[in-house]
Amino acid sequence: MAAQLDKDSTFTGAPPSFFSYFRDIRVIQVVLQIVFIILLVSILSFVVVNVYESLAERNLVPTFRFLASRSGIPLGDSPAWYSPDASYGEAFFVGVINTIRAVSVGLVGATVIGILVGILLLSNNWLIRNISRVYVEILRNTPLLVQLYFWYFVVFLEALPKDPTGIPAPGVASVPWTTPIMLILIFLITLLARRTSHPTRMTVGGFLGLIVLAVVRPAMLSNPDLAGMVNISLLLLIGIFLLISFFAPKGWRGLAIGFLAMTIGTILGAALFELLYYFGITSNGQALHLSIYPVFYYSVKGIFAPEIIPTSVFGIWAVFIAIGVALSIVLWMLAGHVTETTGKPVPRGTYAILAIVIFGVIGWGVAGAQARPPTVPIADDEGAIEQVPYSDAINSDMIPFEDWPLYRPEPIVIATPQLNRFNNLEIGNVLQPQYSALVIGLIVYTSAFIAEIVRAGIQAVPYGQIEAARALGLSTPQTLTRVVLPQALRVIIPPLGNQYLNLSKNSSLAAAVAFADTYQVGTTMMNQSGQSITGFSMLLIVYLTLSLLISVVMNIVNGRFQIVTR
Amino acid sequence: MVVEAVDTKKKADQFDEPIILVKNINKWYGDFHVLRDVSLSIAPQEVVVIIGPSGSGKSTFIRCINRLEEHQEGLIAVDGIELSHDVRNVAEIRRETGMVFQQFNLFPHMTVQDNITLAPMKVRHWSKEQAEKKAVELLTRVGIPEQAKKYPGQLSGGQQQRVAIARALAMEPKIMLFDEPTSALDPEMIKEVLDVMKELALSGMTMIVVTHEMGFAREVADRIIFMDHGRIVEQGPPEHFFDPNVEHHPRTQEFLDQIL
Repeated sequence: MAAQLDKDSTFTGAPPSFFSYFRDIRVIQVVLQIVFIILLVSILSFVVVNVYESLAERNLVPTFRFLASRSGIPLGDSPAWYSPDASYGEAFFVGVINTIRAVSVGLVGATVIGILVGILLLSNNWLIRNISRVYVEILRNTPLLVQLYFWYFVVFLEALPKDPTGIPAPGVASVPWTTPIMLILIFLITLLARRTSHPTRMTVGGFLGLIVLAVVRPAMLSNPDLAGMVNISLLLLIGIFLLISFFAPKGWRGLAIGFLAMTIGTILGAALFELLYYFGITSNGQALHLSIYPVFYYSVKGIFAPEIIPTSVFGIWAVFIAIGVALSIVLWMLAGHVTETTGKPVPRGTYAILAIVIFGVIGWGVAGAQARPPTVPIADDEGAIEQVPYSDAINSDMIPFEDWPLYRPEPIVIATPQLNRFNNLEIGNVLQPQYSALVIGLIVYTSAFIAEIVRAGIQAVPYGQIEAARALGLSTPQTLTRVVLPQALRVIIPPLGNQYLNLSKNSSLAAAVAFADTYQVGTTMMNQSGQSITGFSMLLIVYLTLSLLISVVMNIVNGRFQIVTR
Repeated sequence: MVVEAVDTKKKADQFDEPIILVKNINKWYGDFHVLRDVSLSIAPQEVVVIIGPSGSGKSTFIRCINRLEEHQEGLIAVDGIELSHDVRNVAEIRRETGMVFQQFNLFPHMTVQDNITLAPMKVRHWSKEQAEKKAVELLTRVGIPEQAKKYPGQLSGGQQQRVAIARALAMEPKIMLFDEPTSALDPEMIKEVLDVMKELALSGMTMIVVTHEMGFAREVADRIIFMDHGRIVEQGPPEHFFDPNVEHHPRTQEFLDQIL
């Protein structure tokens, strides 16, 4: 049959001619491509030659040499080494750093808020669902530029106080060393309580024990008449609770057990630290001394944040933390192996966190004991240097802030913002209003789009999948993590990558809020030097690199979540 | 508490003691009355086939048994455990009850083997080795041991439904619920799934099957239930249903005339 047809067509078809050759679809395709390339090359070369000639007339041949000359650009948000005397290249570099600073924080913030709002959009609670809906609709239906102006001019320049107020003098607020032990005990008790039939009662018992130790014991110790009775009365209390636990109705024993565990645990902890002190491993209670500071202040000058400064004993603490992390990784893998071979569920996350916390606390104490010179040089009011015993110096605020890292027993010091008399920041970090407005604007705007993507992704998982998981007996969290999320991520990740790209490119709107990002520095540079071709190609390279980097990462992530279908 | 649970289980295992007990359940979707006073008791190892026109409430009924749907009135007890609002009871009943869906509902992001081992490992706390051994055993039983490492999307409909049966069996349930297991399949694949179900019935599994496969009902069922408008209209052994001389309820007769 086929042969017949072929034969027929050769007989009936027109004889091949020169023009019929050009009706062949394969020839047409090749010819069209050649014509297109010739056109493109000629247009491009025409443009390039023209531009080059006109620039040459004005003595502005594209070159990178101008990058080394003095820029004279003052940058609001720049590292300490930068000044207007720096070169164009350095100014541009600061711009790139600023873009990366804004984009990286923006990506993380937008993802976190976006996921949260996306989940809230699906909430069963009418109020929460509709508030989230309004948030999303307002933000994604107004232009980003308008929002950035709002954050910068309305919120940061109008609504906030003109000068930072309420910033206190530097100081050390102390927390008793028993605090970390109590925190660990609370953690252990809630953990233990989860496995009993009455978790609430046991936890409540634990907290009662905590109150006794945190309030009653110190109060009794401070009263000389009662101090002698402290331990006897505590023993009595323990006895009473032991009795209660014997005679209490079944369900209420947990209360007594929780209380006992907390009381005995804290006393054992105290004894342990007394022993450590006795053998000279810790320097009294001071070794385990935590400092708490106020954290953030706002003003027209920006958001003021604390500065974290490592002290001379930071290295010792870091070693302990490293051991804790290593141990927690080993525990994590070991627990995974145990679950796999025996099937028993092991709270691996808890063990891992506990390992780090315990080593962190011990390391804090050990490091504190090392930071103990016999005397500390202190300058008095007249400026004369005087040697003061370490314990006296450390308990008062005699050590000047600059010397803290040398003498404080804590491995890290968290310093609150300090203003000099011109109300400029001396200590601490400041997030400038331009940067804050840009980052908050980008985060809030992009999070609305991410929220919709997350909502759609979760809803894209067929309900039958959830039913199947439930019918098998999987719990709600197991259904979510094993069945729903892996399938939702497959739908979420590609459009999420688009939003990441949008955010990174939208960061060039920084110019609107006068933030010195790549685009702003780049255009200023072009205006001043006239090197627009070089400048634009530099901008192109920076944004292209940033976007391609995000694309590559998202493609790798995407590849991991795709489902094999055939 | 624990002692009580053991006692009730013992009772249920005794001969003639029903493994599923349903008393006067009622369910509404808004104003629509889906299940009206449905009562039923099913003995261990019994195979019950539910037939009826679409919208008669048969799927809703078996979905009530493992709490995929909630009934508003009446009592359901499975294996001596009452299906109440207590989440522990619901979890326990779901562990003892396997379900096979019309649309298979396999997890597309996991291999066949992972689909089967997920619940035994996460819910029954079996070791990986034990769960995988069970998976191989069950895949052999349903006739597709060579497909363990494939993804559901790479299998035919019949193979997917057999994996779904293996997945439900991996939890070693006492009861299997089948919600129109062959309705989404090509005619040639229906047989391979029905064969697996027949083998399962012969092995002594308690089964409730919602289906339109009359051949299967006639051959395998111990009892056939005809439902219409949320009510059990008529029930009896297959001989009763397929005997032309028996006088049926007029609604049953109408339905049987149309499908036989």
